[in-house]
Amino acid sequence: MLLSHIARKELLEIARDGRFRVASAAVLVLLSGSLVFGVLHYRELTAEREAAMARDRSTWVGQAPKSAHSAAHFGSYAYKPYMPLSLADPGLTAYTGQSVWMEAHWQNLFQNRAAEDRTMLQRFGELSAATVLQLLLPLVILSLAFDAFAGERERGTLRQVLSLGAPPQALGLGKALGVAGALAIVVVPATLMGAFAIALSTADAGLMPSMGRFGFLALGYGLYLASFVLVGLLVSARAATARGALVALIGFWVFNGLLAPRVASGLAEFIAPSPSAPAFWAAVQKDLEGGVDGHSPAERNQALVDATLRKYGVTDLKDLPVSFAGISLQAGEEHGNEVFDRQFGRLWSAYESQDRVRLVLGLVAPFMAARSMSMGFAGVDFAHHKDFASAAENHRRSLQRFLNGDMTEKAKGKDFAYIVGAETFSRAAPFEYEAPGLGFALRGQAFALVILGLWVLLPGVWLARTARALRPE
Amino acid sequence: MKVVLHEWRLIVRDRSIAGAAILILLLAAYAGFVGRTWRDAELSAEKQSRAQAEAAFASLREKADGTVAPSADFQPDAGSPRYVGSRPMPVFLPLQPLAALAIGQSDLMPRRIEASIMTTRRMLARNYEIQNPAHLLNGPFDLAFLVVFLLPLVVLVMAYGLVTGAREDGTLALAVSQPTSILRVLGFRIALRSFFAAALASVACLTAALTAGIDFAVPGAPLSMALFCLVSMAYCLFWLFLGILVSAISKTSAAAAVSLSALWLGLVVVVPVTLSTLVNELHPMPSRSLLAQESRAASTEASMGAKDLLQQLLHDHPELLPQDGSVNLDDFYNRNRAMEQSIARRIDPLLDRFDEQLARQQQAVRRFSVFSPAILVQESLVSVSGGSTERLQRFKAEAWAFVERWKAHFFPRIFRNERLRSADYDGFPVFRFADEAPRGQSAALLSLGAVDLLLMMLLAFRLDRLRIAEE
Repeated sequence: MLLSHIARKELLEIARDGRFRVASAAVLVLLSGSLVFGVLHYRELTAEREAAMARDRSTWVGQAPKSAHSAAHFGSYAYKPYMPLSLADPGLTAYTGQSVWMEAHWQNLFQNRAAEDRTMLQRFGELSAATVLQLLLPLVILSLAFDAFAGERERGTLRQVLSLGAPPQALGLGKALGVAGALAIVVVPATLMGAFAIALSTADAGLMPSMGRFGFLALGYGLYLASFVLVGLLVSARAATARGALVALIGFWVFNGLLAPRVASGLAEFIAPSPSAPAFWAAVQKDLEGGVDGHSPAERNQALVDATLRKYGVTDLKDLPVSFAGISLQAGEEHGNEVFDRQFGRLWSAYESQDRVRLVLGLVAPFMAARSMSMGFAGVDFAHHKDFASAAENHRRSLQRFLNGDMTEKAKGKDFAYIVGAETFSRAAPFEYEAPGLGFALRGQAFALVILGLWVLLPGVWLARTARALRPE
Repeated sequence: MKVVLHEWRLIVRDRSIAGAAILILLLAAYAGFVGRTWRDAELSAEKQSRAQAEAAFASLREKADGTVAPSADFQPDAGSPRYVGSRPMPVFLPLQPLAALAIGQSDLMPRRIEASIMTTRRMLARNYEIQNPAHLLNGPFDLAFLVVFLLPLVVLVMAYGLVTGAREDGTLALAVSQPTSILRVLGFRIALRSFFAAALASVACLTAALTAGIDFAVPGAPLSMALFCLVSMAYCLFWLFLGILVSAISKTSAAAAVSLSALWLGLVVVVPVTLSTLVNELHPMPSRSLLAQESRAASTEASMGAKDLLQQLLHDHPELLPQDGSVNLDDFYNRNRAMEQSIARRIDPLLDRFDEQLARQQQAVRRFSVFSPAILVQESLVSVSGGSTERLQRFKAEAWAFVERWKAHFFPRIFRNERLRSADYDGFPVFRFADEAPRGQSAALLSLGAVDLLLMMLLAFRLDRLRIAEE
């Protein structure tokens, strides 16, 4: 009963505060604006992607008859799909590249990074629901919570409340519920707007496939925002003055949202450095020329000839029932694949180590855990990009196997003069990709959720103990 | 004088101001270190790339004299303009002296492009550095970030409480009761805090320059550093005057703190982020996905009529024909040259659209910078340091011009089936980037100066009314 009175009083006080009304309105306007742009862009970009994929396929099938190996060089493009929840959190989308050219002999880096087509303004951040929830709303929470205890202490009302016999824990919990209730005035409509935006974007596929991810996203943000409520009240309870509490909380917000991400990048790069482009491609070239297993191209070629002659029981390449050129091309592809697996494996492993370093820093700055969680469940983090990149690379390899296999089987006596046309091109399977499900995201973000849970539990426990020892002065 | 000394003691003894100032200097040192690490990595990658290219060409040069064409196509051949011209020749955008202080777009847009006879304009965008995309999303912790985002917070701590604090602890009433103008009393205090804020900005910039290892012996470096410091100082004064004005208007120190936080958030985060979206909506970029497909379609069509295209090219450029008039119409490089020109006629207008839209976006940013000094200062600092979008776009244009010179050097020799000698290697085109003096700083300083003056006048007006209200 007392608890509900305290919570209700706190909620009413906040709701009637002009600052809260202005801040809430601003947050909701920014949030709705970001979701509107997010929906429009998602539809536009998804339609563009589908058009590009369709055109790529028709260009592939409709290309002029040519040597199978020329077709392998012409290759095909893979376009990464836009995840429905990317309209709320674009994550790494602008920085990873959206398409990759799948050609013979070479695993390419992704192209079309939207960030290269933007001005310096993008370095201030992107207007998205994620920015509002990760940066702006926490500041609103802290500006509400900072004088919950300290302000009452300065005004003398804390002494009055305690003198009435109100249990301090009830006071602490009531204030937390009050602030949370005020926050709900913003968060509940925001959640509904988010669900509606996703439903609009995924009109054909429906909201259901994204519901699981959306649910965990809501949970993660719930924990993140709750941690700010508790931290705000804790600092307010412990600070001598409201002004001191506010300065401390703003300092925490600046550290959390501005300093920590950038410092984390530097630290991560220091602990797990990634190679520069010249160093990376020099390593690839060295492995291609020298052989991953140390064998020179001439040695590898001779070994291939010997193995092929043995396989077909002949003593001369002219007597083979198949095209050796096709066999040789495929052997070259497989050697290249080993090299790319090794070098890209090292590069991606460095990135994953860097991501782990950044996530661990979530123990001192919850923003790091919240950002990882948000990108993970929205499907716009490095793990999802790598999943797509791996799928595209597997398709590139199977396309090369198909073309080289066709050449091996049918090009005897003709080799590179063997010409293929639309019938062969249409037999090559088109690239199809299904984004990973909720389980994939959950496995990647379980630790982030644990960190956010700790950021609720520890300040909550500390607040409860501080409330027990609350003094009016 | 006594007021000034007293104010100095107040500033120095205020733990929040002293603590924040020390923190800023430590962070400035760190920012300089981060910039240095980035710059050294860039220079190391550049050195490695140049060394690889120099070694490759030197090795070819040694073998050039007396070589004969190999029997198989695409085999290494130091005397073949086909083979030599298709080796990558890297060109670089030189780093400016203060590059480590404001990285700008240098970590996103390529500052190294590989030129060869096979390079197309579309390929220029593929030369970007390999970096963790999450690091690109966060942005670098450089001095520009510290000045734009963090220095205002420290200055606001200095501004905050000058009036409200004095009102709350009663010293304002004492000051008002003195037989002197309140404006004069507070004016000295504001002047000293202005000096302190400006000094802090300069010392932070110089600290970062020290840890970044900036070489001031390089021509232009001292002037660039002076401009960097002046812009930072003007920006700090903006926040100081704004902070004192808001404190004077607010009824309580807590209300002042909340208002100042909201102003900082609005001007440094919300306005730039919102304008970024607006600029992208006003001048949207065309689709690169569809550009890639258009390019492939153009390539497919061109390859079907490659021989005809080649014949047309030779008809238009008879100077390319060998003396005996015969050209191998099936030669890969000959056909590629003809196809490339046909594809370029179709694709170049689409590529031009990207550059035009980016230029329009940049113009919009300059117009919109009046709404946020943070945008103005960011653009200005990045321009001084050489990491601006304009400079990187100009590099891309000059690199492409070099690619065309490279092709113009080799293709006539390819068509005429000439062989290269070692002496010919001295005549290969060399890339030189024509740098321009950084622009926009005078406009930024004037704009900030005008706003600072306006704020000072508003502040004087408000403080004068403050005296009346107290009486």
